[in-house]
Amino acid sequence: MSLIDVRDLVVEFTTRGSNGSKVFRAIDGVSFTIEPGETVGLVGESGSGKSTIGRAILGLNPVAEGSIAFKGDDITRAHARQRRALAENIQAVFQDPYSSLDPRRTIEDALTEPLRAVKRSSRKDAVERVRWLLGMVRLPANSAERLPSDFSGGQRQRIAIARSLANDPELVVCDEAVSALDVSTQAQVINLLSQLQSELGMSYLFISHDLSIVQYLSQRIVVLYRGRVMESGPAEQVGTQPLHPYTRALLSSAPVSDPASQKRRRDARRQALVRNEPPATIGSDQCPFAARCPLVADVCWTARPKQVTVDKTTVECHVFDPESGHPDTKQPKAAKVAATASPTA
Amino acid sequence: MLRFVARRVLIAIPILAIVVSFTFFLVQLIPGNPAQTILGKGATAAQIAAVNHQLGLDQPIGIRFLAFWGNTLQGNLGVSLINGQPVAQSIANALPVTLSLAISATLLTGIVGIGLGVLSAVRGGTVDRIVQGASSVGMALPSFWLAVTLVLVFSIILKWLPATGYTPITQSPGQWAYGMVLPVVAIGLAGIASISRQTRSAMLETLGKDYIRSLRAQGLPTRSIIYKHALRNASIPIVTNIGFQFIGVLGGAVIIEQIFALPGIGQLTNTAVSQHDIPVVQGAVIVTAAIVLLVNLLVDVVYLILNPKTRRA
Amino acid sequence: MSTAQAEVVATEPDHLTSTRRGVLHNLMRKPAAWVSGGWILAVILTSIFAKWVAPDDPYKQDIVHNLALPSAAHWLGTDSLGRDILTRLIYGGNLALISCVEVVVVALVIGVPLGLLAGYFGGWVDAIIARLADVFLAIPAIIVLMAVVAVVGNNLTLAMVTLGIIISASFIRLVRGSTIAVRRELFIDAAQVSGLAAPRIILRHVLPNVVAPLIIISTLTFGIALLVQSGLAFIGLAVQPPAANWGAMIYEASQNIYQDPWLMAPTGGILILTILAFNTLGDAINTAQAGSVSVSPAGQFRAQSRRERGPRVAATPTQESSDVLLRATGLTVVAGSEVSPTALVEDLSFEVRKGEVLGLVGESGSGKTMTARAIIGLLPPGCRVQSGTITFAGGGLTASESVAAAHRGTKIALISQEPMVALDPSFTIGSQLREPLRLHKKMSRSEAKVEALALLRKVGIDRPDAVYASFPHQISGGMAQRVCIAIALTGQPELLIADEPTTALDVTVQAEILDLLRSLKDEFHMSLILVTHNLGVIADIADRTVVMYAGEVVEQCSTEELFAAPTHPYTAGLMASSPDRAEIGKPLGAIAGIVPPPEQWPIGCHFADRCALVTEACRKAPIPLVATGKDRESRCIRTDEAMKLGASR
Repeated sequence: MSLIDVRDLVVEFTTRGSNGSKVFRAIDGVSFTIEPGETVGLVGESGSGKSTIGRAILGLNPVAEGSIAFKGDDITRAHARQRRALAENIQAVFQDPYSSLDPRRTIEDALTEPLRAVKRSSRKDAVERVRWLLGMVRLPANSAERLPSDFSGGQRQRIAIARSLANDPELVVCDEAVSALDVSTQAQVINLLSQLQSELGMSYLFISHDLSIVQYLSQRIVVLYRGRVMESGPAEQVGTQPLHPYTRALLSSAPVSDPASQKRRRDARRQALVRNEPPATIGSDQCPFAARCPLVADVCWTARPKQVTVDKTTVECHVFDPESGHPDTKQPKAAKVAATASPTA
Repeated sequence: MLRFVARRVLIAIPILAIVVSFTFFLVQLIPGNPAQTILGKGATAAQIAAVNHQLGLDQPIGIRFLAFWGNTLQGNLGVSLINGQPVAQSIANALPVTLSLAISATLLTGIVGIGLGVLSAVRGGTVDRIVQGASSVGMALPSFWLAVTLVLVFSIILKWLPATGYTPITQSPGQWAYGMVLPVVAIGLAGIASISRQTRSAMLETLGKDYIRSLRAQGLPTRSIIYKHALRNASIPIVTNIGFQFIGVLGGAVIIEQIFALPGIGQLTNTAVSQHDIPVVQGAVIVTAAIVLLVNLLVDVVYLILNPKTRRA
Repeated sequence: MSTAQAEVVATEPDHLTSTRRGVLHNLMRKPAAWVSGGWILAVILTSIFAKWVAPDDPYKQDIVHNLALPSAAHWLGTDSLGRDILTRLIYGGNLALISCVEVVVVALVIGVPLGLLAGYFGGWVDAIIARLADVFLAIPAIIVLMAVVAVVGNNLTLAMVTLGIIISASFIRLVRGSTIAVRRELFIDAAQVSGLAAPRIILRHVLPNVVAPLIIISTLTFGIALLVQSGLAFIGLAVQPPAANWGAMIYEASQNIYQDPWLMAPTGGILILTILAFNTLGDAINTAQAGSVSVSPAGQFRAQSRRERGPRVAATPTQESSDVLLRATGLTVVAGSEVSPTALVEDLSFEVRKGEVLGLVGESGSGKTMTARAIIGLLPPGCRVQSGTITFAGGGLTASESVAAAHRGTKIALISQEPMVALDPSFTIGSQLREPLRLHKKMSRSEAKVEALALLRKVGIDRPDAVYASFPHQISGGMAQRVCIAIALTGQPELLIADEPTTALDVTVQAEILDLLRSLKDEFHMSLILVTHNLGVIADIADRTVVMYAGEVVEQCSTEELFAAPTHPYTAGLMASSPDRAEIGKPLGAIAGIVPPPEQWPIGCHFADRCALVTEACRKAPIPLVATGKDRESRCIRTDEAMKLGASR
């Protein structure tokens, strides 16, 4: 049984302006699973909805349609008490280490809070646990009585990680957990996250805009664009030889720290991306990437692509669907239309 | 824009309705027999009955509430218990006095306050400290004390300006202005202090923004950056405060009109309060609440015009 | 919905940083707080112990000595009934302060819970409470108070409770606003994820963070309540005549103004001083909790004042090889006081050649942005160039404020990290393009419009007319950066400084902006200084690269050489940390430790504490920048080992 099973998830936000309210669909039919002990990377640009998905799993965003299951139990609309019980198993590390710790409470307060909220641990046990947690994230034991303002960004992120581990969770949602950090500190925290996983065996949902970090940490990658899954599959495959035109554009746009290979990437990118201001809204019956896609055809504007499985990768693109009517349909040997029909919400 | 105004008006209507209902129920709060309270201890039974009838207190409360609403909606605010004049008429006579006082004071407040605030923010140093210190004191000066002191200095000692008296602006603008100088200054000084402080902090905040740095990087002259860009952006919170000042001035007028013998809403209310002339008090509350709502609406509209983010493209 | 790409600079939201302990500490250091607090305390104590403190009986009349001026017997004189003024002022304080407390307590009791609920839960709860506050705000306070007095008689307590209810609207708004601000903080999300119930989150995390603004508004409300209460007493409402009351005493004074004008002074004085004390205390708490003394941003417009004169202008134009556009020599930027300044950039030297892209790379705290700002003469308030020169195009130029100002926009232009906040939100894009065009090129309004549209097209905007008429908030981040670039081009600069121009943008947009900069550089014959933390961006666009660490240049050379073989251990470590170079299954080559803050920079090598190759010699003395090849410099005494380190990775 999957640890987390997200099916056809739809999240909507209502924006209230001076001229009435509008409903904006941030997530439009997203499905994926997380297996025990596995890291799933959720990658996408701003507006892709990657954080929204993480927050929906954490119960911080209401879900409009679809379902989220934890070990088979439906937690889509878990009420407050159920949510508090889930807190033991599902935890989070957020992006901004400066805002994620209450500046008025000591590190010990921050770390004992989840212990005492969920397990009602005694004060003594909690203090013991805090020492262990600080050791796990390689911070000195005397950090406990200090305030967040005494720590640098990287150290604060370690504290946030320690807090997420307080109750031995089975899943930690890392929402852009290293994006705010400098490169050298970022590498420390990434290393810490993978060490902790091999020691404690929890799963990660690793949310990031940086494909290279996601590829480094994850076993599987889900690529999002404007609230829809473009491509998902093994990290090695998606991160190096992506199928979907969007993933290819994303990969070739990320600069690499080597002038020669960067020049090659730049040339590849010019093939991979049409410079075009994308439309403000995308219909549910369109491909969201159509405006910027070099392979765009009429069908991309009129039909939502079906999920097609190629090898171990699933891709939502008409090009890979022999029945789509796209003029340049590619037909790799293993391509076959997935049995599950894609949601047409 | 029109839709926005319409929505705001729709919000204002129930608020005004609550205020109208409130003034009705206020009378019901009078402990014991209202007519007795109004007339005092020496009243005869017949007088009490007459007042009871006049206030409609001999009717069931539901009927009275509906009647009160019906009359208010028709612009009929009842008649004075003391002189039998229609309340609406008395208020209409007094309103121009109070409004001319309040509008002049608000204009003074806005112009001088913004000027001092900008000066203080941009010049800094000694100028800033002086303006800051003066506005701290200015905000602490009670208008009624200031009014009496101004009368003492400018009317009694220097004999430059009249201590009392009101000439309608329609009769002689010069005379009107002559009589209004002291009341307007007395009532507006605290507002000047408040606006100048707010302008200063709004300007300082705006001058610290990234786009100010960009404008400087473009080599634009300081004059344009401060007076065109910074002031324009700083003005958004200031407008709200000017609206608040107007409302404050309206309240302060009650006391100031007393000192300068100005026949405005304040004096009308004050006399009515001392004579327990309930219908006049009720009318004054309803009319001033309506003015406050109107000013708030105006502020919202100006805000909308100044802030492109809330304006429809 | 992510705001991923923005590099979060290490600044924290002001209202949350200072702890309560810190606020009290800051407050104690303010004389204004002592004086105003002392006055309030004195008024409270004397009015409570009036019986013992006051020199006289407040009701004892002495008609013979009425309206007397101050004397030994009556320090502040007597009133029309010959009663001692000082005594009556002392007794009057009691009533005044009790009414203030009533108002504030009522406002707190109503305002805090409603504000917390509205701010925390939002939605319909918020809508209802907001409407309620609107009703209170629409009530003309004094007139309603008069109506209440008219109806229920001279009951001061009831009048003050009514005032408290009306004023609670501001408390609701304030608490609601602060709660919404705190609600957005991630630690609230974290508490929810930790399984805390809403009431506990509100009590433990929200309430403590709204206490400071509440104290301030309460203090100010004391002043307002005092004003209103005295005003009512002045017009003879809500106070029974024989009782001593400040407002009523001012009224009495005004009645005797012809005979004894002096009376206005003590009666008004005590009221004014007490209100002033409340307001001053509120201000003092406000500045104390906002943290340490902030430097006024307006200072930038007064930069010609004595001390901020900037670096010395090079005395004689040096023999410059003709291809150098800009040269910085020994540039040191400091912050803080004249006496003990903290260096942010130390002894920085580099050059920008005509037509080249110079990359300035480093992590946060490296001083790269300070360097860029020093060149264009736009250092943040409180920072200044302490020594060094910047020469522009061969002649002695720049960096003294007036010279820099003369070059800004025309010779040197700047685009910055957050394009959305770099544009003035109140003006259209068109207007913001026209203004510099009319200034620099003396164009008419219509000429400027034509040129502005042409520039928008040049920076790759397909529908220039639509963008021209738009306000900044109506366009996307990538579009905004294009607009910023167009604005930078209006004066046809020779040097464009791009400070993290793509950090806030999506990676696909970043690629497009880099392409755009590359092509514009050739088209406009510009040089480019590109400041970034991203080695990938450097690899993409820079011809030569300056690597900075903790305020120093650690290495500079051509970009190709840099990536082929870094000669400084920091550069090598930075490359090893880059995730794009990671090998799956192997740990990333992280650099241990953290960048030291400027006040902790060591005398020797700034990188020593984090360096794998550190020796005793590295810590002893400052390490000079030495040539390690043609056009190549490194600030390391063990470059050979460093190169091996770089190659081994």
